[in-house]
Amino acid sequence: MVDLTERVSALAAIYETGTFGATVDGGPSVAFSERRPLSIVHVAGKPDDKAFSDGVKTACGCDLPTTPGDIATSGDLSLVWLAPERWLAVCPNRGSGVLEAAFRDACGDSGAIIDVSHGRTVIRLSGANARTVLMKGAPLDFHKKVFTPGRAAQSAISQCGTLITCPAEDTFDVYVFRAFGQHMWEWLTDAAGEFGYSVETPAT
Amino acid sequence: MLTIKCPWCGDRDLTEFAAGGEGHIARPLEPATQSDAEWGDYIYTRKNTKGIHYERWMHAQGCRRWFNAVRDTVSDEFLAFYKTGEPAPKVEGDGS
Repeated sequence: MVDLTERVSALAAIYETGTFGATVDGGPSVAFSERRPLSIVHVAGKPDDKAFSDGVKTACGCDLPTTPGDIATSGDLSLVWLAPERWLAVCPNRGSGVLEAAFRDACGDSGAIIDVSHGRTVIRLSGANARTVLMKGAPLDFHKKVFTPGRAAQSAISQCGTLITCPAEDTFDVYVFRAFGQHMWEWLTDAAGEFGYSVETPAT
Repeated sequence: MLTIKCPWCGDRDLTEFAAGGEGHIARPLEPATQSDAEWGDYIYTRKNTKGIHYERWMHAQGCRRWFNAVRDTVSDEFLAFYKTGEPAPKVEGDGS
């Protein structure tokens, strides 16, 4: 009997740790890992509605970022601006439905809260050439002074809608719908082949 | 490659956007009272402008919001971007 409640990575069938791609002096300059398990909640509401903005602050400990593309953080949780009145809350797995319940309890009827933890695959790239790999795929301005730590943007890589965040210097997270996870992994690792890349064990 | 300025996300590549055709076409408030000709006019008749064109765009692979733009259909140059609900800006060369 298959346990349908157990979370299985969309990358499980192809995930292999090690060093791949071109052999270059100094070793691989891009490191890949899948970020899992995560709790991911989509949050929608009016930022000028005090019940909603206060509720979000109660639930996650930080104010709503209202500047397009900004990320607010509180401990291990990130609150990412997606669109006007739309945010994504991401943190290491807190258990089934726990983060969603925290938002629902705090916001009441003032916001629309949806748990999308199972619906996203999150691929982390880091290293000196991580930025270059993304530049091959997404038509965004990836200049070091523009796409800085604490910034995020939605765009498309290989025609798949993606959310790309920059949590730290030369570190990027690529969020895609779960069904596109394997394709995105293969696309990104293929793009990184010329630099040599390593695949690390999944972590949050 | 054209760059389009989403009123929220800023300058982005054309490939992230979906074109929505002519802007500022108000839906009739009472469709049931419209004649077939009037309704057909609302649905199908467009200006087919040569020159300054006020049109709708959607940031399909970004924030997914609709907004308005002014574009010269001869040169394909964008002249202004503004949010839905804001009045259309006056643009030099606009004959309408």
